Amino acid sequence: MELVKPDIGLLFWMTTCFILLLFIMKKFAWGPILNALNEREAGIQKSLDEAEIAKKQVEDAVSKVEKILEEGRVEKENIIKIAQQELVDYKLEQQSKINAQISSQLVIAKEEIIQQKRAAVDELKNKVAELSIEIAEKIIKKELENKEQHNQLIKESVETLDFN
Amino acid sequence: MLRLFISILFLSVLLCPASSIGDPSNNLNDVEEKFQPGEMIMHHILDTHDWHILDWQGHAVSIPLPIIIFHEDTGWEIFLSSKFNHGHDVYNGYKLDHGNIIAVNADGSKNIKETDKIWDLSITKNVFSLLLSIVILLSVFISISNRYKKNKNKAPKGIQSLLEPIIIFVRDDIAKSAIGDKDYKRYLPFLLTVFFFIFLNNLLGLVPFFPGGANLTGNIAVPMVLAAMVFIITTLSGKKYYWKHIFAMPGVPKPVLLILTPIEIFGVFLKPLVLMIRLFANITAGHIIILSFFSMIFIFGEMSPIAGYGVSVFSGLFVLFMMTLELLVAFLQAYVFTLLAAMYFGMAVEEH
Repeated sequence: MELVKPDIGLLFWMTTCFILLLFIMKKFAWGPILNALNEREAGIQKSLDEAEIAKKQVEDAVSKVEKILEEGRVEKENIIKIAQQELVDYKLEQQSKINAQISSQLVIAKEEIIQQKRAAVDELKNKVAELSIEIAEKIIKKELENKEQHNQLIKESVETLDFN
Repeated sequence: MLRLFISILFLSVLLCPASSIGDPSNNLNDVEEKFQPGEMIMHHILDTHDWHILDWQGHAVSIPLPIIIFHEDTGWEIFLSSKFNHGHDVYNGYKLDHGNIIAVNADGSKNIKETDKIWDLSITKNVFSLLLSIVILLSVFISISNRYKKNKNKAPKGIQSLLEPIIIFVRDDIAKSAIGDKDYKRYLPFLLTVFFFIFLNNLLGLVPFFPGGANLTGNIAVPMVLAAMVFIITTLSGKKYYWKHIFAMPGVPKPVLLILTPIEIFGVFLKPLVLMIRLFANITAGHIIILSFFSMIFIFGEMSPIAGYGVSVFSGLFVLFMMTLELLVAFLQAYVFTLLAAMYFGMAVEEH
């Protein structure tokens, strides 16, 4: 029975000392410790959140840079395409200019040739006329000598003429 | 600690047969000197007014502790327990009788009327152990709380890193899970204090030499005070939902309530009572088992010293096994007491 009979002395000391212990521990130990633990946990959570935000910002920046690079690439291709087009256009234009020039020169040349030809024909005609007159003179002169021979001569002379 | 303990175990095997059993020529009365395991065990488990360290050549070596007596008529009296000379002497009309202070008549017989007026508030072995554990708790936790204040948001160091996981364990796995996120903060200081108080005193009780070895948590008064506090806190924080479930369990037919309500009201008192008995019985039983194994050495030693030496090896191994088991029990009982207290608080503050 001694075992399960509480001592009044121990009951008294236990009650007073434990209540004292409880209040001192609450004020000087548990308060600061639990606060510090909470603060530390909040700090860790905050750092994790901030790291997450920073990661997202870096990702945003990287995607922005990539976007800018992509835009630059597209622009470069456009410029090259335009330049190539312009080059082709320029070449065609030059070609047509040259062609036009050549054809106009051809026309001029043809006209000149025709004129020259005409002049040559005119000159030839004049020469033929002159020759005809000369021949006629000679024929007349010869006619006067030998009529048959003269006819023969005129015929031959006329046949040798080529008007081309 | 274990190595020291083993050394002391074997040293005590060498010493004790000499002093307890000893040389028959030294003993005037063989019957009185015969080893009484029951008495020895009860002596170690119960509270005493002096701290018995060892017997040296038939004389007890002990540390005297202050005796504080309040007499309803004559008032306070404070003196050292050495004045009683282990219960042999009468001092100022008081005598130590089997661990209790009694008032005696001039002829040395018990004065029952005067004894009833005595309030024994002595610093006994258990009270000394209680004060010691409080000093340890305060110095350890205030020093680490200062470190928390100084090194804010820094990793814990030293003893701080040993205790921090336990504090977080009590907070998250006992208080938070049993009481709920809303209310747990109010009860946390009490739960933490109870947990570390029980744990430390369980461990101190296992230390086999001064200043350990007092069976504080195995003394009915200590679990009684703790359980009473749990009961008071539970009752004071009981909300409508809690009381409604005790007096009129919702969804139960009226005739059944006639049986159920008395059971529920009985349960309110039973819960802290069980809490008290569990802690008391577990710790006391552990001490009794360990002391029983030690007693076997001396029981066999009385038959023949050789048998005593032979049994001591096995007893020592069994005690070693029990001691490791008791280390686990020390933590487990602190955990169970705290967890159940938290669950009772949780039931009291539950709301729907």
